[in-house]
Amino acid sequence: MPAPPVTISDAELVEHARGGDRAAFQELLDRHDERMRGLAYRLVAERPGMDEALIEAYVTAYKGLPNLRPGKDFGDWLYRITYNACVDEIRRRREDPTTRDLTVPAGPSTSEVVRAALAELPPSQRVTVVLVDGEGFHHAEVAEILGVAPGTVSSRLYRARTKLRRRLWDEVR
Amino acid sequence: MAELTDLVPVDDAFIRTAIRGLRAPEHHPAFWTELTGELDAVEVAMAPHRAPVRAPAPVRVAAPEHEPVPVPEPAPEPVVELEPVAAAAVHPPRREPLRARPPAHAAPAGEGERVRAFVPAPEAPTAKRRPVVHHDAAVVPQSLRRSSNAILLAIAVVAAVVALVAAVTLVRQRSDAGGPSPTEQPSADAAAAPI
Repeated sequence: MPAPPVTISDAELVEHARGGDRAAFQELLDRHDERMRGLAYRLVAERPGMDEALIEAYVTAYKGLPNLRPGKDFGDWLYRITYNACVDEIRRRREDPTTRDLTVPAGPSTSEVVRAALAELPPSQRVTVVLVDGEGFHHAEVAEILGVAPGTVSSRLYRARTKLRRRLWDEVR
Repeated sequence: MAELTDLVPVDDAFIRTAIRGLRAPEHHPAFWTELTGELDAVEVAMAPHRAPVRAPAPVRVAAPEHEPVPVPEPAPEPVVELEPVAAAAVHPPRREPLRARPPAHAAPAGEGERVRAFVPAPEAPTAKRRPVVHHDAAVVPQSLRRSSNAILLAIAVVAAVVALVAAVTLVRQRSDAGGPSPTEQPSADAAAAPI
């Protein structure tokens, strides 16, 4: 009977990674990469942008490991770093429109339709709707994250949902 | 004029399902390679700063440049089994609760270390008591100690003889002179002066 795999906690891996253990850091990324990919893909709405944002986020996390307070959840910490990297990536792509991918391939899947619909939204609305409807944050939390008034979050959310609904409805028809 | 979609409440569940159903694709094949390169660059840049928090380096045993001078091992002393009293002095007995402690003389032998320390030692397993010698004296060989004693004795005898001879000589000089002592004689000027 094979021995059960030894599960090492994130905190232990962080301690190893702090000491320069790249394998431990890689293990941490493997554990949280799927969640970070989901966030990045919804926020940036492009695969190249997702990869760019995640490389920046992971490098930032590696640099910041010594500053990670003991006991702080690595996943939440990495999530915030990834969010910031995605916002930077969105800003970069807005300044360079040639990098935006708004096309929908022929015979698109549902995911492609949703991705293209998100990509058409203004970044502020996209971030708001992804954080509320995609990530499950409350309006007040999103207001705090974005540094805007709760009323601003509500109005952005309303507009974003309206556009998405219209766009998806058009695709369905 | 407001559009119809603005007036109809937005179906949150619809949007939520659509967004959460959006599956992120896998990374580009070159993603991890590129990330590894970036992390390598970061590591090189941060190496001086991260050195103190790195895992401890493996212990290296460097070969000595010169052959070490052999240090003679101390001569093994003969192992002498301590008597129970001495053993009790080296290993103080454990403190026991005061209650239910029988007097030492009444305790049967072999009941415990503390009690055995006060019981005369049995004959068979113990070694003979070692002679008590002072460490300083033990350093000087016995033969040297004997000769030095003889020298000291000879010096004392000579000193006594010299003192005795001196005393005898002084007594003889005094008895031979018979007159006043030099301090009692008048000076030459006083003797020559007219009366």
